[in-house]
Amino acid sequence: MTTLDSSAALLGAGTSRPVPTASAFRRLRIGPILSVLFLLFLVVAVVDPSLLAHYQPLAVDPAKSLEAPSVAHLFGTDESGRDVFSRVVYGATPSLSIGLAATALGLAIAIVLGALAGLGGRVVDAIIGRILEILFAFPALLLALLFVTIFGASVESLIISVGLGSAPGYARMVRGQILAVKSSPYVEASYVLGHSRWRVLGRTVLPNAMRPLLVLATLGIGQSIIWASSLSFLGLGAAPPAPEWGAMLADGREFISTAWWVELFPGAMIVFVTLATTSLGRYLQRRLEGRGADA
Amino acid sequence: MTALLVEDLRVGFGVGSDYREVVKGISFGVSAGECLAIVGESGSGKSVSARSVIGLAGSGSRVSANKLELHGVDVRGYPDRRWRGIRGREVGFILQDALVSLDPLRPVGKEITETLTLHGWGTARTRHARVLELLEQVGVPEPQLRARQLSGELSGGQRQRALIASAIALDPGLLIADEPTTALDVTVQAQILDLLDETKARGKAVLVISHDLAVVARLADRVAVMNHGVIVEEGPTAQVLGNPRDAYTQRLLDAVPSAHSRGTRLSPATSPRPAPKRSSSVPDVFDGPTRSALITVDRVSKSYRGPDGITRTVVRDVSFELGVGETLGVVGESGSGKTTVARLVLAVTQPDRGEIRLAGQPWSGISEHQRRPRRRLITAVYQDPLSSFDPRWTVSRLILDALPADRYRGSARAARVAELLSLVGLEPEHADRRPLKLSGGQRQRVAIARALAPEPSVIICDESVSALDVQVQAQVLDLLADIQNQLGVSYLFISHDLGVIHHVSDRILVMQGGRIVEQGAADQIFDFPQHPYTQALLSSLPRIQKEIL
Repeated sequence: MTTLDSSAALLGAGTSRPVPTASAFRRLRIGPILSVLFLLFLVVAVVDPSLLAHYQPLAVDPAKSLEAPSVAHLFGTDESGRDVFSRVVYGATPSLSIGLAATALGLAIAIVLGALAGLGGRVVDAIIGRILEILFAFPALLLALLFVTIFGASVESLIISVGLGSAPGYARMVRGQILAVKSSPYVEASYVLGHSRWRVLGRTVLPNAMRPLLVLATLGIGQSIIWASSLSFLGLGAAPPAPEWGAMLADGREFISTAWWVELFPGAMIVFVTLATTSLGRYLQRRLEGRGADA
Repeated sequence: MTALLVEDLRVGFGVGSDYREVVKGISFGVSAGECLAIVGESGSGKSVSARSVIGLAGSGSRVSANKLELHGVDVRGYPDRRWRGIRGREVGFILQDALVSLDPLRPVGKEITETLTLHGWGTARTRHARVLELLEQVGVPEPQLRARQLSGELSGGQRQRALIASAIALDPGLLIADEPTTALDVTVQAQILDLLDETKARGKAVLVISHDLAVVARLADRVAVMNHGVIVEEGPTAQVLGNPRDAYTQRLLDAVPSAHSRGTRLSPATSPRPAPKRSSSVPDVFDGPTRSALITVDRVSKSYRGPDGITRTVVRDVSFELGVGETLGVVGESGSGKTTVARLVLAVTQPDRGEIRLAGQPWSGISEHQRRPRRRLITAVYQDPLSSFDPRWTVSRLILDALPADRYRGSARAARVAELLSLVGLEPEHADRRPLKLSGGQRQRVAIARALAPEPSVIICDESVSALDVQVQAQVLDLLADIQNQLGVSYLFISHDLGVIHHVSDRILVMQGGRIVEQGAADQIFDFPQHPYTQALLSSLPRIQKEIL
């Protein structure tokens, strides 16, 4: 072979997008890894908060009111001398359970409504479609507010209202997915093999329709936590002394100019949980879509 | 004069340790008034070679060459801007799929005008006249009307012509066509090939990229056979296709299904399988008399209401029978109603008129509840196996799902999956893979294993080998023949490819516009076609002339 000297042309080198290399993929995974670590920390906080926090969340110590963060009190103390770090750790349980339970409830309602609309024929689809449109006409948070006012302020009603508020969006998605999967060649192939309608529904249509929903739900948890905290902040959720992030934010807002730590840490928790679940959700979404795109 | 001269062209993708060279130093040239064809299977590097020649190798690619001359001018190292001046003016490029290459929201005339405008040709008025002249030249009927229509309103052949019109708009000296007829019906294909022939006759150089040896034989003066990034053989068409020197070329030619290879194996024999010819199974689940015809289609019609509210009859008054252990080929162009016939026989759609019987028993017009126990008797292998698989499932899960629950229980089920995998020539380790990770040929083998799992009497093959490379297609066709020998299943084999149909079929149905225009024994149809449409279909089929055998 003749030597490829300097005159040998590089025609298309270094055009618009570099090909992602193995190390580039590794870099992409840092977000999800951090998210998983942070969520693991929260799981510990939920399972056994006393492992992380050395004070009781409700233990009042007036002598130590509004102390700045120190070694003894990592996140400082609030106006009643309660340890903010302990309250943030103990607050993980109500905040996260509200977010998770509300998402689960929203999904459950959505799956029932979406499945009915997607499978129930034209009339059912039209009726459910109109109901969803009415629900869509109101901002979800407003809807949740409405439910809280009806059911009264408590953690349970907070879960129900946030769940109901997020259901219409999921329901639309479920319906669309079911319609798409229902007309796919692999569902037809399943019928051709002689499987009964119910078996095809249960084993092929529903699981495949739910796949993208899993990702959406991960994204939705963060949203639900924000809504739940917002409602608590407005005094419509957890009752004041209870350590819940939204309620803590509401409590501390009069001290924001003098004791920033009372506001910052519960607020940061809400931000980080939302970031972590969203980042994880996006990662799952990319994985799922990447697999689809290979086809 | 040499229109294109390429020496030691190398193309690679990836960075660092991921770098992979896909074109490994190929050289070729095309002169004016000559047609060179580069043939090869997918992944051989033929398309990327053609694209590199006009600076379109793609992002992340590394292209190098010792010589790359267009009309005697060295174009190596040209920046993108200079390439844009060359493409269209000096080199016309015709892409494979006109449907995706044309802007769906722009009138076809505008699309062609753009090439002229970009290179500053003429005035608005002369450009318009030139577009009409071009459309006329490529044989688009009613050019005035077509120029105003969107690409979606044109037929596949017209779209491809429009694309060619835009490629030759500035009368470039070199025309590069990447799989110019792959998506087209055979009669349209013949017209496009004529058009490319005319272009060549007007003194242009034509470089054709194709996997279809018959097309190449019809069009090219010289052929270069590519395999794994290198040209393994090059020479005059008659010599390369008639008397190939390279073993790979020989294998490629052997794999082409045609009348010559009927009843013979298309791929080099693998381990010969024991073939205990099992008596064919008209299943015993029927009470009452059975007849030798497994499937009887009796004067069946089917129409659909389109989105525009117009009802179209896609199958008209179709009658045929499928016998035990027989292969019935259904051939026709797109829109002829072949696939609807398959769907009617599969009973996923019901006929408007007429009746379909399965082994003498009613099959259409009964309730799904009555039909379900017998559904396992008719299975299907589709063109795109991947879309017919549940995307969540592994290979073994897919086959398990198709096993009849009452016949195989417990450990017998896994054993049966292994048995089916070996029957279709897959390894046991494929069982836990996902179809996405398999090659096209392996996927189609999985689809065949799944179709066999319920122990059917009839397998409907709807364009089952159309998406496969010729060698893989040959292996799958051989596999289907082996299975028929062993198990005595019947095939309803649908294809637009006359060569494939002739190779596999005992009898053939020719469909046009929803009707069966001719049916009979395969040899009779191919040797003495009666209906004018069949005659037209056969005469437009490009064939490889084997001058020296």
